[in-house]
Amino acid sequence: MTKSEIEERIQRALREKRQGTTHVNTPYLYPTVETPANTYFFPQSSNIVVASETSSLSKLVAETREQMRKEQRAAKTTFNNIERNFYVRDWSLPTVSESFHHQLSADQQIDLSEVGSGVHDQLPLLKAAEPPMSNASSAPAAGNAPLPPPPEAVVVQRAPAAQLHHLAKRILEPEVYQRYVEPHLADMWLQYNEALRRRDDREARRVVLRGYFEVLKPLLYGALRMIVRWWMRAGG
Amino acid sequence: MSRNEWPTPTEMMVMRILQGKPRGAYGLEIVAASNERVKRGSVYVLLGRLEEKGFVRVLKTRPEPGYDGPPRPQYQLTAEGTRVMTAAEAIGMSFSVGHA
Repeated sequence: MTKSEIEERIQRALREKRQGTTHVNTPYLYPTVETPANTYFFPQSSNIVVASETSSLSKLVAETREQMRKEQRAAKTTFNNIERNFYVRDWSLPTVSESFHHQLSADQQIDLSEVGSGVHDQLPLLKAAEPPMSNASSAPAAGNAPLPPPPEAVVVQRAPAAQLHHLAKRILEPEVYQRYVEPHLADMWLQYNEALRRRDDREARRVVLRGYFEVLKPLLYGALRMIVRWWMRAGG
Repeated sequence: MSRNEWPTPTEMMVMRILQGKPRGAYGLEIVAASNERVKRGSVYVLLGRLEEKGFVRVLKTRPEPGYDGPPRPQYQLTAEGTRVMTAAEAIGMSFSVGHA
């Protein structure tokens, strides 16, 4: 499977999600594990709900449902953030690169299992992030039954200064944007990825911050130029 | 803005740098070559103005392998830009680059 095919899948999943045909990161109940202490395990994604035998089943189910709702809400928020932060052009798709090895925060992660199976196996560049620490190992009454591993979280690189990109694109004419702002974003992209490749998190943040300040001048210049042009066109 | 407008001293400096790079240069290369006298925040404004005046053109080059970001333009001096530089040198204009 090529990179473009994977990107196509991601795009398709995002489209379907917009049309409401795909469920986002729907959590599921693992099979209940019975242990000598009669403890119930309800692992959900990376979290495991442990209930002692004193808990009534109905309470447990209610708690589990509540947690599922929370996870669904969180997943939707994450997905919306990703949609908002990704560029919409070809080069702006979630990219598969070395920065996959970089540990990003939770809001920068996307579960590729939503876009199809077998993605992880067929793409050597993709490296699954370390699975979150499971409570199974620390639980005293875990028993011998092996728990299924939590779903793999695959880190997808997020474009730097995506919000700025959208703002500039919205307020500037395409020509002005391409001439004055896009080269800045390209430089920022380059340096940001270089910093991530070196695993220099601080430098990456600095590049983005500096990039915002650097783009301010061309952004203002471009906006002013556009206003003057409109005014002249209107016969001012 | 008129195409025949004479470039400002800073624009001259950028053109001088581009004159030394016949195969074109990226914005960041120009900033580095000017010893930061051309600021990163204003280099593309300068290049955009030079492009409008017809002294500089944007090269349509293929991106470097491994780069999948936004299009990264390379800039090159046009024939008109070269003529302006030659004329400026002939009349003894000085536009130093770096530590003059």
